[in-house]
Amino acid sequence: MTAALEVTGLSKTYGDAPAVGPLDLAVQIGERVVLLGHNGSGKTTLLRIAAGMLEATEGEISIHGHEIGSMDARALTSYLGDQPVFYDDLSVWEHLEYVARLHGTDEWKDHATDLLGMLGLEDRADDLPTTFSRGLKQKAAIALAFIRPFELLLVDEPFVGLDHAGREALLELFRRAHAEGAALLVATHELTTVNRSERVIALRDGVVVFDGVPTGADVEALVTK
Amino acid sequence: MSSVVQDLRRARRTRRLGELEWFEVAYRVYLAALVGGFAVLWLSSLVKDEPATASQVAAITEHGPAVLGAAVALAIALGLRSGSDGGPISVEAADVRILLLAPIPRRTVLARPVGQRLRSMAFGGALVGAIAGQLAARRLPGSPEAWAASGAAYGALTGVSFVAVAVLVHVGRVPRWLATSLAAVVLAAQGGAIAGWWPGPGDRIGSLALWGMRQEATDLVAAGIVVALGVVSIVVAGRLRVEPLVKRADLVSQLRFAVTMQDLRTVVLLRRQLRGERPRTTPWIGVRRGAGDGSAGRAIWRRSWRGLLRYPLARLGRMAALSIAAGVGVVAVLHDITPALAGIGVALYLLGLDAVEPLSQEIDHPDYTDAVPLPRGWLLVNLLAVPAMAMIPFALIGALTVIVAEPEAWAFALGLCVPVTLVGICGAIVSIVRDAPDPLAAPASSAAVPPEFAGFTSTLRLLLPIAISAISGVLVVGVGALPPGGTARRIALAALLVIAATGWWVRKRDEWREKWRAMLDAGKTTSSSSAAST
Repeated sequence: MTAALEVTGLSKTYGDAPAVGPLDLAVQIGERVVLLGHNGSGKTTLLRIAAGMLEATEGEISIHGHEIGSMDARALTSYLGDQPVFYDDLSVWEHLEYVARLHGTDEWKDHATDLLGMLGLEDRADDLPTTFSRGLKQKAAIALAFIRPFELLLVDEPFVGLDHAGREALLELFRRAHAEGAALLVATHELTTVNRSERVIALRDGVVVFDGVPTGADVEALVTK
Repeated sequence: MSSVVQDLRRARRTRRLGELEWFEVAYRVYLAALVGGFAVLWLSSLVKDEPATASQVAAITEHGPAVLGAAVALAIALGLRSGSDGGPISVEAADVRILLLAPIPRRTVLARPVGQRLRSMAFGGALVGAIAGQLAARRLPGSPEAWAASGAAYGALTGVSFVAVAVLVHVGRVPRWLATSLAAVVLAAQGGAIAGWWPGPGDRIGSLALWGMRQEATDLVAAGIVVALGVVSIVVAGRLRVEPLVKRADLVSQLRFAVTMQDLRTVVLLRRQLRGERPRTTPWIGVRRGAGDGSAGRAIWRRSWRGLLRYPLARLGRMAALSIAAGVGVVAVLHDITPALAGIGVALYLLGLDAVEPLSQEIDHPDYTDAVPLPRGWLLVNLLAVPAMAMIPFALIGALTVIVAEPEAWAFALGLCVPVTLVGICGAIVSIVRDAPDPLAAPASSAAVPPEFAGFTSTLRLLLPIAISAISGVLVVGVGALPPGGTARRIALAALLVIAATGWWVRKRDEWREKWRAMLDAGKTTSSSSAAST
């Protein structure tokens, strides 16, 4: 069966500084995987390569068998980055409409209303997200990541700046996406997410140092390392 | 899906137009027209009105295409470099995250910015070319209209060359070393053409600029090739790489802000980042750990060398090129082309921004500097010692350039290259120190300058450092103006005075500002107590 994400011999260097690899891993369809690692371990680089924002120096990476960056791969992948990015002149609602329509979703309004309600943004739908606080920006970015259909969700440190309600909403969205059969690859140190995952991949200096089921002892050790 | 993108762009454009401050736009147009008008008048004053002689016309006909082709060659070389650095376009960060990662053809997103870049470069080039053509018509045979049209065509094609080459190099993933090598070959080939050794890559487009007085059908072939390359660059726009666009999206918005703020140093720093220029992990030569006697002066000395010895090859190459440019400027000044002193000033100012990196680093990290239990001015002055020494080889490169062009000026060149170069970098030092985050800065409300003069003072702030660097050019003018006896000594003495004054200003600036603030505060206290008593 084709994996949701397949990475083979991947490496990335910035000038003479290695960032990732060599790396081989696969995330299966419907699998919920947490990516752990200390600062500079290569989590963000790996996710950005998988999202098609960075080019690998060597190796191959595919989404459901499609070449990274191809139209099919883009249609299947939703990326929630560590830094929310918005247009200066569009409201939250206009962003949602735009992203949904770009992904061919016609019936998006109810879904958008539901997402904004879950994230506590219903009263801010007509405001410009660029004027928001860090936490509200993160919530708006989460709404954008979930407004569109996807088979693979790539998420980088999603809990930064979120309040308790926001964290709970995001965990619920993860649960729903998983229930609908999407694969999740989430870089986080948030223990609830780590414990709820089916698999943990730990990176250190760009290479995999642990890949397995998150037993309690493993998680504590990996998170605090 | 393309219609979604078109709809959004239309909606955003309408909104932007609705929010536009039309009075502000009109004021900017007025300022641009005023400055542009003065520039054209000044350029006109440089051109004599007498018709060129037959021999001059013949010389222009013979050498003009190669000389004018140098601008085309330069545009191609810059395009090669820009493309290998991920240029020539940049898109919004949100466009990268939302549009380029969406399942829509990337050409839908990227063809427009490429087209806009082509249009703006072609228009800018055409404007400059038309003005130059009109000026040429005053001395050369042919109607002003024909000269303006041929100048505009030449300028537009030069602009298109830059963008088209950059896009094709970007799409073709040409590595930077290869692009730089090709750029060097293009420039060398055009140099050879100017010397009359062989035809250059820019000759035919350069020849197009002379259509005001004579036409050559082969020029149209070159024009057709450039136009075709422009069309191809739009067609292949969808293959531009996402990674450089991500990087440029972040940096270009900062760059635009820095340009808006007239912050030249930040512009230079961001351009370095845009090119992916980083200090070397391994220095060219290691500085021994723990060497020295442990005094603060020694620590600064070692810190400065450690920074300079990590300069990447690209920056060293650029510094060498700027030294050569300054040398060319000196040669021009020695040939009585006095405006070239501004060129010397700009080249040495940019060289200084590259050279005084240890000082820039301290300025950029004020938390460290302010925590040091030493006078800030003393610390900053000491950070200038090593860069000043490191300037010697670059000063010699400039001198060598002068000697190659003017062998009889070797004694002046070698004797004065170091002081003149050091004067040139004084402007950069002033710029860096003055624009530093200032713990003694007065709040905006207590600024001594009324708001009506803000535009004038900000222009002055922008130009002052370059004017200081241009003193180096003035010194070179002095070489020709002063009598031979003792000229070198006098010039050297004047240079030393400028260098010493700059060093003294850096050393004492904080003290002077503190005294000034204290005096202003005392004045305010006195006036408010007088007001209270009445």
